[in-house]
Amino acid sequence: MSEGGKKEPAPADTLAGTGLAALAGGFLIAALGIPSSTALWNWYDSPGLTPALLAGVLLVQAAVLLVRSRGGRGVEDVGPGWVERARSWGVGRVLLALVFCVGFVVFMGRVPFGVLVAAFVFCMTLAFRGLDPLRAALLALGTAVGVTVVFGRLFFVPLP
Amino acid sequence: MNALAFLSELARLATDPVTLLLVLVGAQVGIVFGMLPGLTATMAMSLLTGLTFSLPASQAVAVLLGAYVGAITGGSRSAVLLNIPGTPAQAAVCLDGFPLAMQGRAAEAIGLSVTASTLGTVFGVAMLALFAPLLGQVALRFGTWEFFWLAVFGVVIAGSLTGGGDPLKGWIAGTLGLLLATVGHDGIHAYPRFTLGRVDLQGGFALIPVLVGAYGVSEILTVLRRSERVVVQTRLDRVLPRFREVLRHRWHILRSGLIGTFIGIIPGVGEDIASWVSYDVARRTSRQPEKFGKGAIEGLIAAETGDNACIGGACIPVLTLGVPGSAPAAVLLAALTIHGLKPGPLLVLQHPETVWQVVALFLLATLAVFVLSLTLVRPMVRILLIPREALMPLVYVLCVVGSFAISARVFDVWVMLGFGVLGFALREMGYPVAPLVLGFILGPMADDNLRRGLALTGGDPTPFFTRPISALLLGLVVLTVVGRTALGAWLRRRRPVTEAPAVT
Repeated sequence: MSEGGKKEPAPADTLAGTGLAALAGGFLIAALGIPSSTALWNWYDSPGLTPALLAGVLLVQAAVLLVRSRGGRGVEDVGPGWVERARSWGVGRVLLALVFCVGFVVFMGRVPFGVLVAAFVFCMTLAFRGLDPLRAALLALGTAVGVTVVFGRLFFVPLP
Repeated sequence: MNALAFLSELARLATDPVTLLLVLVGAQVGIVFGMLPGLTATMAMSLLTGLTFSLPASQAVAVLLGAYVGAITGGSRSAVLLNIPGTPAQAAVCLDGFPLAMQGRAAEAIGLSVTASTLGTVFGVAMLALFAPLLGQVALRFGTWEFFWLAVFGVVIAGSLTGGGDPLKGWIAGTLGLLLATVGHDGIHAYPRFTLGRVDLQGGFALIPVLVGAYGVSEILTVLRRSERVVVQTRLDRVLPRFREVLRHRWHILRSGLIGTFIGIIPGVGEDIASWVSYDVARRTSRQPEKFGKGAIEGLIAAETGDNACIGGACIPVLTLGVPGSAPAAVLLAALTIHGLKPGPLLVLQHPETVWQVVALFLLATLAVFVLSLTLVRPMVRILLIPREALMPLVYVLCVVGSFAISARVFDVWVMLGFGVLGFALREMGYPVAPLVLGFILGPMADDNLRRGLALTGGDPTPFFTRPISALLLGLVVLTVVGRTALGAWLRRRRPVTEAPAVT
């Protein structure tokens, strides 16, 4: 909220509204690109009908969100000191977790699943719990053996 | 229904040690599958259908029914303890179950949820036994127009319920879910939509990776974002709820039982919708609706009773019409057919003993799940004593296994991760995840039935507004939107939106 009682746009809603409007616009354009009438279907059972309607609804909802955000109903401001706020919010921890999660998927099928599980649990445990390496390794080994035996051998669940 | 014949069938099965053992095994496998995020009742039953192929029909059905009841009941464990629904049916259970656990009342919450599940299943099965043919007739009145409105109604309800003081965010999440469900081949003409030329996208996003990502991965990121350690001390004084406590909620149990059974009867609408609608009705009729989403016992009981009553309801069209009421019921239908039983009107007329046998096995399975679930409450509640960030690597591995197991594609794991990041971003901005998932589940139903309804009338939309059940559902949708918009405006006048966080 700015001084003098004038409301400032709510950044989170403005950001979300803009993103949603862009997404809905993209879906709408793609849906309108689907032929509305062919030898197989008419306009009323065209595959593009429902997505076009839904994209239209989402566009309206995003517009309401944007209009509302101009009225100053928001979550928080972006201003000086945002780096500090991002740090205290935990952006570094989220990015680190995402790196491990993405890495797990990237190595799936390239490394034996048990080894991958053990490495993932070991790294996550060290990074987020700060256990000593021996305990982390034991935990990782136990998890890897447990997961592969229970799912692979007992339940016959296909593992990567 | 010949009561004497049913009782004799029940006595015969209850005294057969092999049947009892198989029911127990099925129930335990079901509970484990239900508990683990990403492993569903449908998956448990699909796996067990193959494993029990060589057994006689009655024994195979015993295992499958045990797994069905076990998975639907077991799913609430992770919903209450970790805020991750074990199966889609438990998304509504998270709303009040997890806040109860955070208040140190996890054992009480699980005890109540198991009791409500048991009563819900017994209610649904009693309805199956008593009213199967009659209720099957009512469900037949639902046409394509009603199914469309049912899907819209489900999303609107979920958006209203979970959006906190800002239903618009709930409805946005629901619409986004409906829209994302249109990716891939459409259900009528198999036209590839929004696939960007990728073969992987032609089948669309699979439900399980979406569910696991939106709930599981987003929860993992939420937990790991915080640097402080959250360990919840929970009271373990009493697990089995007092009879008086259960009796106090008798109307919620009865009403949710009826709702769950009725929704179960409607083909294609499963336990998840039954749970949401039961929860919504409980909130609307509660004297303290403001407590919902913050640990309301009524909400927990309504959601649990509704989704379990749906099991019996979903089996009514299976046995009387040969049409499944839900996804696990579809597997049950397939299993019955594989074993030479032909579900449909003739089964009820010519082989009523099969119906009695199913009802008796359902009751045994319910009893087995009740005993197994309550026995395991104390060790399960100890999960809360472990710092949550310590559990997250294991939870992520289970999420990956669950997503990959559906069709052994790494693409599904990427989808899980993508929806996890989307779910996390939505949660952080105050958008509820539940309507996104429900919209995704109901998307194909809304899409196919809208176009099919229009096709049946040559493009005339009149039946969507004039058929009695359609008009009723449309009225409910309008009432919900108008009511929540007016209520939302009133709430905003009273307090800033930041003070009314959405329930995810």
